[in-house]
Amino acid sequence: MTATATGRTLHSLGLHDSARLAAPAEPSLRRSLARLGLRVGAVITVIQRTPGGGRVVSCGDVRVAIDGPTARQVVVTPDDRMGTVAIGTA
Amino acid sequence: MTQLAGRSQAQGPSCHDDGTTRVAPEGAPIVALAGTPNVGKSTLFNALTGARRTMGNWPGTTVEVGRGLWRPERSGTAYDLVDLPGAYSLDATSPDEELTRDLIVTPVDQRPDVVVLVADAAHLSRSLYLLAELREREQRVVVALTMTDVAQRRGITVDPRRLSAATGVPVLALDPRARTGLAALGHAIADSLAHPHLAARTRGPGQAGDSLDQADERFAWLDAAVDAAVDRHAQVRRTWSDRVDALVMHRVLGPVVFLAVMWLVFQVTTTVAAPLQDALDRLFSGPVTEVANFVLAQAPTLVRGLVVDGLIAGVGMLLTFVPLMALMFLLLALLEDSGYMARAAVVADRTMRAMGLPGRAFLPLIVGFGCNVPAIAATRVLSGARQRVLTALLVPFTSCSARLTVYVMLATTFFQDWAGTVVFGMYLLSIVLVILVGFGLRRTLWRTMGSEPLLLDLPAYQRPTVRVMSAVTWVRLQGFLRTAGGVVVATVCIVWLLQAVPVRGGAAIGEARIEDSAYAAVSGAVAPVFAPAGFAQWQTAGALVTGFVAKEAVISSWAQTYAVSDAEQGAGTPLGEAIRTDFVASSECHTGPAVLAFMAFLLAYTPCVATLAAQRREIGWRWALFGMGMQLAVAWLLAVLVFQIGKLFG
Repeated sequence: MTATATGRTLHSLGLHDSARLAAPAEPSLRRSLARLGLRVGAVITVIQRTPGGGRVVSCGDVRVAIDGPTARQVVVTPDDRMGTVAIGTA
Repeated sequence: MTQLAGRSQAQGPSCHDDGTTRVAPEGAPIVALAGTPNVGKSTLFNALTGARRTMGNWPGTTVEVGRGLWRPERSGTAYDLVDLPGAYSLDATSPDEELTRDLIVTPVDQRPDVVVLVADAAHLSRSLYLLAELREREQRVVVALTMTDVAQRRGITVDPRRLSAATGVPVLALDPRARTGLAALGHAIADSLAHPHLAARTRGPGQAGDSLDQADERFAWLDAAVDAAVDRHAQVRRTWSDRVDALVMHRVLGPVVFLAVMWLVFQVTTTVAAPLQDALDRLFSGPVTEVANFVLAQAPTLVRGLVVDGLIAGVGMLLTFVPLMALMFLLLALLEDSGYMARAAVVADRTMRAMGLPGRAFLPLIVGFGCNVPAIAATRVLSGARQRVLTALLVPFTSCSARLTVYVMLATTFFQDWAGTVVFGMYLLSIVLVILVGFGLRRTLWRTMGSEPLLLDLPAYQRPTVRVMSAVTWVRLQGFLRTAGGVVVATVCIVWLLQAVPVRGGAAIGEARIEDSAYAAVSGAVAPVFAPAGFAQWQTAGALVTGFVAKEAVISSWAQTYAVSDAEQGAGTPLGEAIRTDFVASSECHTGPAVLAFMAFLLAYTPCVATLAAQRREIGWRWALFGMGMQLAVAWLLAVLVFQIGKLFG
């Protein structure tokens, strides 16, 4: 099942929830995310919670680990696309 | 600005990188390998030059710039191949990226003649941002697609011809691990060199905007190129890498797996290596020594002493640790090449953060467990200068494998059945020291330091290849022997001479009793400092004096010391028993606590002169000397603490 984001940050998403990446307030964070393949507008899925409150997100074939405090700065909007396939449900 | 100055007169990489790197002849075209971390750049460099470089499945492994000669098959041309540090973009955010940018964006006459952009076919859009930037300059670029097999398995097919048409540069697929496509790369570069520089790409809308607008424009350009060249046959699925990650990065099980993996590594290096070490030890102390004595029977005492008691006793002892080192490096290579190391950084992130360090600082710290010298160089993966200084000061507290040789020797001598556990305990102590010292420094000198976010790409797990692992192991083993060898031979000769020169007793040089020698006088002057720690014998202090030069020399200096004194006493006492006698005497029979205190001191004080030199290079003399003083203070306090508390418990 694909869940839909209801919170506003990556940290508030549940496991296997998908959401669309919004532009973070911090330009350097936006740049850092983009260079790893996580671009504004991309659909990301939380595939793991890591020790210390971090998250692992997937975006296509990319897997990126993000620490807890940073996950709280990553702003997301609900993924309103129907039929988005989240990791773990295919 | 850093430049590729002195065309084809490359400055040789430092001795800790790759001494096998060859330099191309004068005037050879410069070909630079660029790309994001972890795309197989170093593997390609090694496949092309044969000069094997340390490589691993880890973002940011390549810190130093490698340089070597490449002669493509059936081609008379020689290229000066440069392996640039991994970079996502020319918009540098770390010293690694700064270096790459500086080496590419140099004045036209100093630029590389061709840049080979190594791109991961499975993560194409991420790999091509650098290409978008390179295409905005007049620069010859060839794209080398790697990981096409991984991409295929995931249902992604990249058509090099379509990608070439969309980007305007030659594109070819190759596999550095299997060494396929290398000749085609040679041809593509020759073709590229035969033509003038490619005209720079004109940017579309957004050109006049800020850097984010420029970035968006580049992403749009590369998205269009990727869309034109890539066919996706399958939807993204949960991969087996994800399944493994669910366990190894689990909030509770992750740290357990991490500790279990570390414990296993050190069990193997203690229990499996021991019989091999014993066999080599018997070879050197038996037949090799006997043959040398026979051959040099007529030689002067000075020569025979230097060869038998200096070179054979010292260097021979060093060589007995080759199996141990090989196993250690092999296991580290296995962890790196498989992709587990990146997961370990995620698991360790919270701990690192407590010290004000990002999870990324785990890389230099974990490399430090192999050798502190490359670990100090690896602090460049951190973008903040203060984080680099702090990490470089903490690295020496990571217990390098040279120290392991001493732990194993002492642990098997004094704590037979518990040897593995004692050695494991030393590694735990090392981790605790890194945390405590890091915490202490952060609370005092670095109170205002912020911390970098952890944004770490997790490469898919891959089956480690024997070729890559054996190459890495061999390079590190060579490095160990080369660094240790040179330093140890010099140290052993100096130590033997100190032992041979009498300061009292009136004997001739080479015939003095060890206790009358300059070595005993120097060590004796230092020894009282260690009385509260239970190891104030001059022989033990002497080993620590030698250990300042290199930890590999600690055991060889003992072997030398006791070989001399054994000869004087006329008894063939084994090394372990000789050391035991000294510890028993200096600790008033509290042998166990004294040995543990000695091991703790050995863990915490200056690892070796090479580490000090690397620190000087990265953080300057002031910080390097501060670090040395701090380590000596911590080591002494820790040793006294261990001995005094140990005494209370018997």
